[in-house]
Order: sequence, then structure tokens, then C-alpha cells
Amino acid sequence: MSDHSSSSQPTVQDYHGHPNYRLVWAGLVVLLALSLALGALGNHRLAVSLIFGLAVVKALLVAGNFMHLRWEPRLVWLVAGWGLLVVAFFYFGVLPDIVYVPRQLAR
Amino acid sequence: MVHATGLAAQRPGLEGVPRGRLALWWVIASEVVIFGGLIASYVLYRIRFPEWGEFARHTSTPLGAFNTLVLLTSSFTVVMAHQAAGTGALRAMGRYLLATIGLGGVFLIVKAVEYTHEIQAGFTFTANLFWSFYYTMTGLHASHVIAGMVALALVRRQALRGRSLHRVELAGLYWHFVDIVWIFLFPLLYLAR
Repeated sequence: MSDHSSSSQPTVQDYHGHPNYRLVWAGLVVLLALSLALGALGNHRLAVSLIFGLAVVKALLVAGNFMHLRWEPRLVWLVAGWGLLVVAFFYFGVLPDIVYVPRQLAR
Repeated sequence: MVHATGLAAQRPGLEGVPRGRLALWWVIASEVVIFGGLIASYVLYRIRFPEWGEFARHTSTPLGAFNTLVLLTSSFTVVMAHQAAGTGALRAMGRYLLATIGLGGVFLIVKAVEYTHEIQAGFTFTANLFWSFYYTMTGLHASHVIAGMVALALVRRQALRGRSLHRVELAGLYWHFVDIVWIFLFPLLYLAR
């Protein structure tokens, strides 16, 4: 129900759509519950991998639907992606300095 | 009238993306570098020192999970505010924004309870490197939650008068990003033991 009698029509034509936000939220809650349940898995390495996989899916659901990234042109994807690219450079650049040095030096 | 001062006031930028939205995505990209750098460093140290899993046992999974639910729900309420702004349903928009700010407050209260228990147990910022990372990452995130709450409150005040309605979406984009950061902090600090 609208609060304004003149607001039965959208006031602006935006290019992104409005998915069923309740469904997206419910999906996120189910994935959260699944992440918690995975903690009971006997295989620790598998559990951690699945938990982080689900975190990526949750992030994509939020970015794609709530932030409407699904509808954005390539320019926005490039802007959003460059930050991840910089982080990837940082990660692989620093990796040898932390992971492959003697423990006492890494501390 | 909503058209004159609201969503239609957005100026088109490159490729038809409104300038404000494009600018916000640049802000988010720079925030990705800040949080991404911290998270990447933490992951590398976790690989180097698997025993940090023992420290992570002292974080409260139920409280962390509750806070995740709170932030996911706040993302839902803020996007509903954006949708309501698009149809000119200003009172509904105001209610959704208020709910989002309230959920941000709940998140901070729960985090404060967690901090209190952890500090009382001796797990302070200087206890070891794991706890330094923990307080840095969650503290930086909490400061973003506070900034988001302030931004939403300022936007709400204007938007309820039918002004700058496009800012509801922009503040919402920022809020969703803060939610996404927590989506990764939760398994890193609470679940991966």
C-alpha cells in the first residue's frame, strides 16, 4: 500500500529490476543455517571449504540482488572488480613473506 | 513532488550509470582494498599458524551467528526502503530505514557484549596476533556500521521530505557492502577453528 495517492506509478524509470527481496533474504538465512550445520562435519578441511564457498554465494546474492549488480553495465563490474584485483596482487605478493619464512620470523 | 527533487534528480554519468551510484561503487572498491588487505593478511597468518584455530574457539559462534542474521535482515530492510522510495511510499521508506538503523544498533550492542566477555577473559588487543587481527577487523567493521547508521539517519531526514530520494539507494549500497564484509568475517573469526 502506498502512502501517497499520487505514487501508484514509479517516479523514475531505473534500469535495474526489483527481484523478490523476501525470497533472497530467506535464501540467505537458509545458507547461514547451512554454514552453521557444516561445523558438525567430521572432515574439518571439507567443512571449512564448504563454509567459505557458502560465504561467497551469500556475498554474490547480496551484491547481485540487493545491490543490483546483476543489472549494472560492465563499467560498474570493472569498478567493483579492480579492488578485488588489487587484493589478489597483495595476497600473492605477500604470501611468500608470511607462509614460506621460518615461524619465528613470521611472528 | 517527488520527481522534481527525488530519484529523477540523479544525473546520468558514463554508460548511463547515475553519477552518484558510480561514485559509490568507487568508494566500495576502495573499501574492498582496505578490508581485503586485512582479510588476506589474516588468511595468510592462519595458514602459517594453524594453532590460531584454538584462539578462535573463544569467540562466541551463537552471538556471531545472531549478528549475521541481524545484518542480513538489515540489508533486506534497506533494499525495501529503496524500493519504497522508488514508488514514492515515503512513510514506508522511513519505517524501513528506521528498522535498518535499529538493526545496526542491535548489531553494535551484541558486539559490545562479546567484547566485554572477551576482554574479561583476558583476550585483549595485545594478547596475541590473533586477537590483534580480531579487534582490528571487527572494530574497523563496527566503525563502518556506525558510519552507515549516521548516513542512513541523515538520508532519512531528507528523504521523508521528498528530497534526494536517490540517496536512499546510495546509502543502501554502502550498507550492503558492510553486510558483505561481515559475511566473510563471520566464518573467518567464528567458524574456521
